Amino acid sequence: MRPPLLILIASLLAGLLLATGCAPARLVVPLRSAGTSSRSVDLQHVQLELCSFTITNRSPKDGPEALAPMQAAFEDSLRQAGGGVEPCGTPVEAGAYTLDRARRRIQVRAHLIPSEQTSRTYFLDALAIYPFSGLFPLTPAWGRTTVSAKARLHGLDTPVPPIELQVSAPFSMVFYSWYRTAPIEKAYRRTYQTLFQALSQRIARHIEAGTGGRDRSIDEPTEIRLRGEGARIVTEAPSQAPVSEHLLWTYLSAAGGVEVSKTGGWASVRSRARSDFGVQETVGSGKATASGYRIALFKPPHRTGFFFPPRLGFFSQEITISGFRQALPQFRIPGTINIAAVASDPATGLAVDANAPIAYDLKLRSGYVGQSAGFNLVFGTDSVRLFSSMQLGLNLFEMRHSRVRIAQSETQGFSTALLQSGQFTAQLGLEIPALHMAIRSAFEFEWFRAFDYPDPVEFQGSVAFNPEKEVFERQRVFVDGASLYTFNWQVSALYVF
Amino acid sequence: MDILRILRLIAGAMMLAVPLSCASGEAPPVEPNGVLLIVNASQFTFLELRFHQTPDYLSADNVLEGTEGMVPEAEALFYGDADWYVTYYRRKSQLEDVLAFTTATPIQMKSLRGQKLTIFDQSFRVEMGDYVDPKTTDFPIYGVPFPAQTSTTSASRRAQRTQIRTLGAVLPPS
Repeated sequence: MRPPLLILIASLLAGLLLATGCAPARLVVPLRSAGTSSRSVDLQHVQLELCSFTITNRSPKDGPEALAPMQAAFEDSLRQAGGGVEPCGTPVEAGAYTLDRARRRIQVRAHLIPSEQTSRTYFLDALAIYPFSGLFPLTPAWGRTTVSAKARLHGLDTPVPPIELQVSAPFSMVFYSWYRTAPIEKAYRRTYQTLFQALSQRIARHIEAGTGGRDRSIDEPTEIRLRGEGARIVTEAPSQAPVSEHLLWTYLSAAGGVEVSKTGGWASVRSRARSDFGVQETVGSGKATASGYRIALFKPPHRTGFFFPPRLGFFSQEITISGFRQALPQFRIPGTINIAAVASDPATGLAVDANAPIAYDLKLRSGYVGQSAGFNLVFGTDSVRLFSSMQLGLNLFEMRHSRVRIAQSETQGFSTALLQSGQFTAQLGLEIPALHMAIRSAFEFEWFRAFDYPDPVEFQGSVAFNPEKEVFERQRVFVDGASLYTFNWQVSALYVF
Repeated sequence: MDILRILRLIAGAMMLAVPLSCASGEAPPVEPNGVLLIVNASQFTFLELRFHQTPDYLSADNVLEGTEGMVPEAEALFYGDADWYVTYYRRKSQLEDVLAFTTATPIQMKSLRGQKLTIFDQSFRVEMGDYVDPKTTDFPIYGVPFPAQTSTTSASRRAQRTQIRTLGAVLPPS
C-alpha cells in the first residue's frame, strides 16, 4: 500500500475519532469553600428544605451517581450562606411554620442546566487531521462553560418569581485539544463553585426578605461572567482602566499604538511557457528588493477570534523581468564547416553580446476589491500576552494596468481579472500591558496570477536540439503574462497607548 | 634536297596558316563563378543581407529588395569567386534593436563550385553542394555569376537578371 494512501486512511480514522470526540463531564463537584464565605444573612429562624435538585443536559460521561455529590455541594453552599438544610417535608403554604412553630418552613427547588461552547481555529484542526492523522499538536480550543440555574422558593410570605442566575467561566487549550477534557471540567468546577455560592446567597437574601426580615433590595444581576485565570488563550478584552479620560488619549487608545519598524522584502516575477518541444519552463524571471523604516499606528490584537475585514487597495510594482543566458553548443556534421557569427551593432560596427538575456521593464498596477478572513490567537496572562495573527485575503475583482518597456519600445494596456490574486499575512508579537510596550514581527505574501502583458512578449526557451535543422537553438517563445508575488517583512517596537 | 625544301615550304606555309586560322575562330570559353546557396534556417526575418570581402560590412550594400526582408526558410543564390564574408541584420528579439551577424571567417568560392550556406540564429554552416546554373533557378540571385560582370546589388538585380540571360547564350553547356 502506498504511503499517501496509508496517510489518507489514518487521517479518515483520525477524523472520525475527533468528530466523535472526548466528551467532558458536566457534573463536576466544586471545591469546598473551606468556610471562607461570609454569612451575610441569618436564617436561624428558618427551616430550609431542599426538595428538588435536578440537573439536565448531562454529558454521557455523567453517571447517575454524579448527582448526589453535586447536591451535597449545593447544600454546603446553602449552609454557608444562611443556615442548615433539612430533608424535604410536606408541601408548604405561604407563611408555613414547623410543627413547634419555632421556625419558618421554606422549601427550595433548584434546577440546573450546564452547557459549554467551544471555538476552534478549524484550519489547524484540518491540518491535524490531514496529513498529520491526528498527531499535529497545535489545535487550540477555547470557550466557556455555562450553568443556568433556576431556584423556586416556597413558603415565603408572598410568592416571588424564581431566582434565575447564569454563571460562565472560560477555558482554553493550546495543544491536543481534541483529546483533553480537563480544562473544560476545571472551568465547570469554577462555574459551579461560583454558581452555588451566589445562588445560595441570593436564596438566603430572598428568604430573609420574604420572611419578615430586613427589607433588602434584591436587584442583582442574573449573569456572572468569570474571567480567565493564569496563562490561557485570551478571549476577552482587557479590563484595565484607561490611563486618562482625556479625549485625545481616548482617540489615541482607539488607534492602538505607534510602532517603529525595520522593513524589507522583495518582489518576484516569472513568465512560463511551453515550447514546441513540449517543455514547460520558466523563460523569464525577475526580482526586486526593498528595505527601509516605517513609523505607523498599529493596534495589537487583544483577544482570540476570527475577523473578516474587506479588501480594498491599490498595488504598484516596477520590476525588470529577463530571460536567462545559455550558450549554444555547436553540432558538428562530417563534411560541413561551422562558422561562428560575430554580432555587432550596425549603427557603430562595434561588437555586442548577442547572448545577453532579453529584459523588459515592467510596471504592473492593480486596483482591487476583495474579502479577507483572519484569526488572532492571544495567549498569556493579564501581565504578558503573546499574540499571533494570520489573515488570508482574496481579491474578487481587479482593474489592472501593465506597461512593458524594452529598448525603444513600450506597450501598455488595461485588463480586468476575477479571483486572480490574493494575500497572506502573519504576525507574532509580545505585549506587556503594564509597560505599554510590545514588539512584533510580521510578514506579508501577496500573489498575482497571470498578470497579462498588453501584447505577447518574446523570450527564449532553453537550448534544445532541433533534429530537423540539426542544430542546437533556443526557441523563440511568446508569453501572454507573468505571475508576480511580493514578500515583505517587518520587525517593530510599539508603544501602546 | 628538293624534297627537304618542299617539306620546309609546306611547314612554313602551315605555320603561317595557324595564326590565320586562329584569328578567324571563336574566343575560348569563360568559366562562371562559384555559387553559394543561402538558406535562412534561423527563426528570424533578415532585414538586410550583405556580402563583402573584408570584415567591414558597413560599406557593403544590402542586397535584399523591398521591406519584407528574407523570411525564415527562404533561399537565395550568391555568385562570386575568392573569399566572401556574409552579414545579415535581424532584430535581437521582437521589440529589440537590430543587430548584425557576420561570418567569423570568409567563405572561399571557386569557379563552378557549388556550396550551401545555412544561416542559423547565431552561426553559419557551409557544406559542398551542386553548382546551380543561374539560368535554371527561380531563387533570387545576388553577386556576379561571371567574372566579366560587376557586382549585383538589390538596385541593379533586375537588370542583372536580364544580363545573365543574355550571357547565358554564350555559356558552355552545364
